Amino acid sequence: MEQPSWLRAAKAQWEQTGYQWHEPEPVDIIQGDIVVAGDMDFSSPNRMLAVLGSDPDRRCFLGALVTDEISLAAAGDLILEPHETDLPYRVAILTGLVRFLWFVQIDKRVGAMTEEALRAALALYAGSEHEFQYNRRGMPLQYEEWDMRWADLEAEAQLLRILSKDCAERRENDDIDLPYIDPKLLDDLARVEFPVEIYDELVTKSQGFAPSCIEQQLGSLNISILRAYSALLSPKNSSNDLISKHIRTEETQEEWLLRCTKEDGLASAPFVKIVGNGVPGYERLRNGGRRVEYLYEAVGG
Amino acid sequence: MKLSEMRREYESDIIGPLLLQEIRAVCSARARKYPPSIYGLSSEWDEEAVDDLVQDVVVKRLIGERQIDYLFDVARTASDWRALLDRQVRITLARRRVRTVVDNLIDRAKRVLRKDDQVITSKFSRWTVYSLRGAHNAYQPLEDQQVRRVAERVRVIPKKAPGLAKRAPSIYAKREFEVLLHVVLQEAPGGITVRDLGRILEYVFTDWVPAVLELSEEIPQPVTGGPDEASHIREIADSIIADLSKEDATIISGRLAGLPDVEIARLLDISRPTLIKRSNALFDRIRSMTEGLDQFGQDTLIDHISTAVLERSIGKWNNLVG
Repeated sequence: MEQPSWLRAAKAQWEQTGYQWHEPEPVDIIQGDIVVAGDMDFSSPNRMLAVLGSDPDRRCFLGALVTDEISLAAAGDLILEPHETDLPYRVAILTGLVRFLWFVQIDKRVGAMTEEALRAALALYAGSEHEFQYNRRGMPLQYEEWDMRWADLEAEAQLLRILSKDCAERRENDDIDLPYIDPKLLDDLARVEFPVEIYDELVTKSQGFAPSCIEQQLGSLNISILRAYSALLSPKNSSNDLISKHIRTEETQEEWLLRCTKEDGLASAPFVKIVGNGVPGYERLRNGGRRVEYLYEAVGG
Repeated sequence: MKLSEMRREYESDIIGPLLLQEIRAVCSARARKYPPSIYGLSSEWDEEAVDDLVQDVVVKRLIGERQIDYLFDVARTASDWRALLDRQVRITLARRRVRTVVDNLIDRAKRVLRKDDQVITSKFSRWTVYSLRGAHNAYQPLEDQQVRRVAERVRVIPKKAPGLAKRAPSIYAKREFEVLLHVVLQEAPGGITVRDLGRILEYVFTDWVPAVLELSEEIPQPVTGGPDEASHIREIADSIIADLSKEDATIISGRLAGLPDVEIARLLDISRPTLIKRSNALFDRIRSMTEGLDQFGQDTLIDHISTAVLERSIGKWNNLVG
């Protein structure tokens, strides 16, 4: 089909620009990045977010909604030109619509704010002014009866609440930033220097464990990884379920324990950090239709 | 069609036959929800009118403003992509509506300004410049920042949202429109052209894009309690305005304009906590004077005060209340 002349003329003006920061499913992000994120079970539309803060340990970030609808920007928001984001289009950073999301929700990084734009966005988020914004702000938001943007803004706020729901509920869990131990490493340690009677005693306990006791035995091993014992010995998942699953599979005990460790980790957060003596790595998967990520770290690495 | 197929065409040809077909389908479905005489610049949504809309969406939004990139950056599925495109179509239609309203207001402004004995005209290139009598500055086209500042000021003037009934609805009442024009002229001592005024008005109607499309009919005027209630409201408003200090007026117009506290505080050269304290006291005072008014009464009162505060700032206060 022949293209209309107006379309050919418009395309002749096209220049390929932007996206030097583009990266699909980035493992890490930093303040100032602009990302596209979706919800945990892929049931809602994606949205673009500017990263105002990042917590790599807890694998979550503070994101401000980014929209291409410049008219939605209010006095406390920031309208940025392509050269200030490395995106090919103008965007508005809505500093009033800010939420925590998990890293695993990020589908891609598409751009990054300049340092000055980031400073201004942070100042506006904190409720102060920044001179960089004076020429880049939107039309002040008036009270509801006078300003027709409220319905759109409320719809965007509602979508952002959906996207951030999982993280809002679980981000504060005390121990989600601590890594689990690869059962293989545990096994090696137990064989070499871990008294069987302590292991047995801990296995029989239904709740908790004695960190100081284990720490004593493990000597120089990083205290943070002791958390793995709790996971293995008193899993948050039902032990019976796990055992019955094991019986039905061809897994070795080692594989089964690793899977238990992962499933136990996913009860707290959509990511599991595992410390072992293998090769460091990163894996992003779907588990029961939900986003999850596994991070492998090498002991002493 | 799957998003992957659409993406393939976008990556190789930006917009090829497949995407053009998708765009046409979304434009056609969306356009038919609105009257062609207002949004289609035509008496019906025939092939030509839809093609015209497709061209607007593609040339101005998708390619001109690079929104095609945004669509492919954000959409995860073909239906997400179509929903985002539908928004682009709505924005395009809403901009057409704003353009029509602004054009009508500009025509009306020319008539009002020509008759206003406080306004003089001169020429700048081929443009007519309107300025206040006694202003001696040379005309300079308004910079973006000035346009925005003036628009923020006059945005507190009550306006009626347009419905679908009329192509050229009356947005401002006579008194309100005159106040608007005088504030604009006061803020631009070198005068303005209709081009400047058009830019200011487009800014004023920022919030209409794209929400204006959802207004299905002219906003009905609420039933009032009659002339007695109107006169009572007017009396309350006059007594509130008479007692206002310059600082009070700044707080009220700043709040109605939606300015952030930090900005109003800067205008008054006071701290934010002080502003909050003073504005709480001011609004408590106003509230005590408006007890007993129903929602309509309170809305009317706010409309009246918002215009009156601006009137006072442009020096017409004495004439209007006299």
